[in-house]
Amino acid sequence: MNVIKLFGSFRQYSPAPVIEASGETVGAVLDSLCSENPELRTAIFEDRQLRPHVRVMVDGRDIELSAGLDTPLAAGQSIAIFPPIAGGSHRRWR
Amino acid sequence: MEGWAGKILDIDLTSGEISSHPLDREMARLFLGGRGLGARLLWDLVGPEVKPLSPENVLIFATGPLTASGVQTSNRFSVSTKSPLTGTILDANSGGWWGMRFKRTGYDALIVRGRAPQPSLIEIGPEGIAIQDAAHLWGKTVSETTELLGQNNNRRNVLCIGPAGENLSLVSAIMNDGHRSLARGGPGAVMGSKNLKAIVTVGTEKNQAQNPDQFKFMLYETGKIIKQSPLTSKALPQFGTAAVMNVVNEIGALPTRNFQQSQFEGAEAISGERMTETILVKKQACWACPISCTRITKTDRAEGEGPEYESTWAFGAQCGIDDLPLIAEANYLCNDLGLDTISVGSSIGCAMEMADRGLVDSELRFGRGDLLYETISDIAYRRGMGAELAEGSYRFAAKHGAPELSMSAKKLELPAYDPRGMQGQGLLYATSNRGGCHMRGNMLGPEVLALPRLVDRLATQGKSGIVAVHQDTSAAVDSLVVCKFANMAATEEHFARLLTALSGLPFTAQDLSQVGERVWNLERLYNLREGFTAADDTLPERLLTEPVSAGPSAGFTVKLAPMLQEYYEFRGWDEQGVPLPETLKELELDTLVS
Amino acid sequence: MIDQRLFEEFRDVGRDIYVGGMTSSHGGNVSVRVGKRIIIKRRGAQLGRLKPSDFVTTILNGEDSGVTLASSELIVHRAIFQKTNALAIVHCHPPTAVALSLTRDEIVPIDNECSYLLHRIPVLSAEYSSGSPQMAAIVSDALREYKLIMLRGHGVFAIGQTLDEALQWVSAFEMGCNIIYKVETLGSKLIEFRKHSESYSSW
Ligand code: SF4
Repeated sequence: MNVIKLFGSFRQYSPAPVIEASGETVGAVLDSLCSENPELRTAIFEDRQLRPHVRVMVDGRDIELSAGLDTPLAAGQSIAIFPPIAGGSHRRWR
Repeated sequence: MEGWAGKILDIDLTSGEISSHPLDREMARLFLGGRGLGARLLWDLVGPEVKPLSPENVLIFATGPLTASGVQTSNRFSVSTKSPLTGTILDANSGGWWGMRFKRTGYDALIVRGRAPQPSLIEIGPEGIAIQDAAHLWGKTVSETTELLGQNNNRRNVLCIGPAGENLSLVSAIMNDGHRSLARGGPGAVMGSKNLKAIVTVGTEKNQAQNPDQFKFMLYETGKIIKQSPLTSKALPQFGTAAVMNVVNEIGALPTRNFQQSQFEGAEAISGERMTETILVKKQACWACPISCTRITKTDRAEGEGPEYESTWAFGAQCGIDDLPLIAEANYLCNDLGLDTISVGSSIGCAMEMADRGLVDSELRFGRGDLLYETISDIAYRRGMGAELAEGSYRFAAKHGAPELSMSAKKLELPAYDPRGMQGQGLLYATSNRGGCHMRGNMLGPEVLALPRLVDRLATQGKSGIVAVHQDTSAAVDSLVVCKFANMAATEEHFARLLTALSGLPFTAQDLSQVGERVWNLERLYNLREGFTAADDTLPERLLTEPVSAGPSAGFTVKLAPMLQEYYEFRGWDEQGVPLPETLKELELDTLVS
Repeated sequence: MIDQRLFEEFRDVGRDIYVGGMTSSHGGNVSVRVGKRIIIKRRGAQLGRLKPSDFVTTILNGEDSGVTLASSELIVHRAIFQKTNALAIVHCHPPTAVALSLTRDEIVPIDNECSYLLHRIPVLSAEYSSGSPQMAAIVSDALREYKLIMLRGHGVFAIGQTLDEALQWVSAFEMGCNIIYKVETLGSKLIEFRKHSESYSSW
């Protein structure tokens, strides 16, 4: 099991700020999290990629510094998802 | 006026003499205004022989060329002086309305010298400039003083000190427009030492563009970028600066209980999200600001402005307190007494640890929110242990035999980021010219928020350049003067073109960066002249030797030495941190030292 | 030796430039500044296939062993690092941009993204000898005002705090040039959608 923490404006799309889900990679977990929540999916994803400026961390480590959505997950690791607070994510513009 | 008003007002409180001299245009080109101009004037006016709280120290209130022009966030001004807390060069800057209004009186800067024989205030307005008796205001709080002097955001603006400044607390602020503060490094005490309670400004002169069409276009472009940035268009307006509380906690860089831990279990309870849900009444903006990061909040007992992220941290995580209304009230109280929330909160946190360890005899303990209010008043009025804490955490901890428990750099209390989890921030704190400070190029941008790009917060190689570039940018922004938050969206590219359209003088983006670099080096020269050395470019021992015990930054200390060496090289300084002659020549500072 | 993260950034950016069709197999160059040193791609190394051994380190100014191994454009990179606060430089030869540079003195993007990011790009002329002092001087001077400039018939120089940032300017620029090229090929009248578009030339 993995704990997923939602912050800022993402909370309006979720019944609770902390949710449990599991999966092999960050992408898989987020996918299952959004499977029954299309609003949250639109808030987080755009064309199966993270929306620009959305930051995702695994145990406090930004996944941009690992393998992005392919970053592997071990049981018990926590994922934090932050709405756009600031800057430009890799090579994308909006 | 087109950018600069061209005049400096000079008031000697000892003799009562009021004079005005022309602004040196070459100086304006090299240092712009605000912090840069303040540093340059201070270099000539206040040498190493001057004690910060003596009449020979000066206060320089300075606006920049963009101030009052209508450029987004062009409400700001700065105060420069020698800091009584750190002994370094100091500038603090603030928003609101006062700076804009002062500029509209037709001056770029105000130099205040000497010491008035009795409590006084200065009034600058269309009827003239006068030094008046302020005996009836001495002892009054900031809100009382501001109201009694007829504050009106749109017409008449009041800047003053509270009881803390009168009582020469080294952590006292100068306040303007009621709630905005020039807080860090104890400028309130310098004003108090001059027997100066307040400065009131009324002015209507306009700062108009030399090239109005181009100026309009640039305003439009700058507005566009502020609207596009999620930080300035969404996060700051919606959650205020405390929007970053949860992020900083999540990465393990939220200093907790005097930096003993780097995550706070109560972070959520004091977050921007929680503030918006609970105590927020409305948001507010300074003059000409489309961002509105300011919070107007209300608790069961009181109402006021703030708290900002740093203040929320200082009375929250730093003191182990997770009661947001209580933190908000501590913040209102500091504003009203004229205190620097960061230094006060951090010093109280330091005292809590000292009490925990039996080094001082006090009831203070982490989590004792019930003692917060009283302790803050004691600091402002110098009662009991408050008298010692009024000197800041370093002097307090040193007095009780444990200077290493003061979480400060150059005696200025560190703000709300544990540098063990943000290595670049550590280098920034250690090299900051006014002591441990986050307003001189915050690494939160590149190390956490990916602004402009994400760099590995735990890495050290290459950090020196990013730190130096951010320091220079902040010095330029502080000299223009615009708000740091606007600069998180708009860059020197925009501000250079705005300045050119406004003043008719050619400025490029890199010219502005170079002004920043020049200001940074001049401040360095000032501190070296005061006797500071490379040995002062350091951090509390805890951050250098005690690894973070748990969480995402576990095992890390600040690896300062290699970063510092790379930094000196990047800056064109020798191994002792002294600017090389060729560096000074390139920056046109060589004539100052030869 | 350069650290792993820096190498990965070089590798990814180099590959994106090549795969994105913004340079020939052996053209283009990238560099970063660390302290008073420059780390730059070695002469002859291919941007699309960078290996950890493909870099040389040299000082910002003066002679050392790195100089001969570095790319012939080292002199330009040095001048840029000295005259600007750049921490990273991307130089490459995006074809549409090069084509447009042969027909005008400035490139004013007409699409939303490129116009928002770059507004206007000056086209500079330097005699064709890559790495001449004259070229170093005009390129580095222009980069004091613009974060990306075009050298006529040759290529772009872009600066940033990271390689990735400089890459973004280049990539948006080539895309913007493609759009100009297509619109001009269509030959129809341009329907403007931006406010103050007439002012972009003054940027
Ligand atoms: S962003 Fe906040 S502090 Fe800055 S000018 Fe606007 S309201 Fe004032």
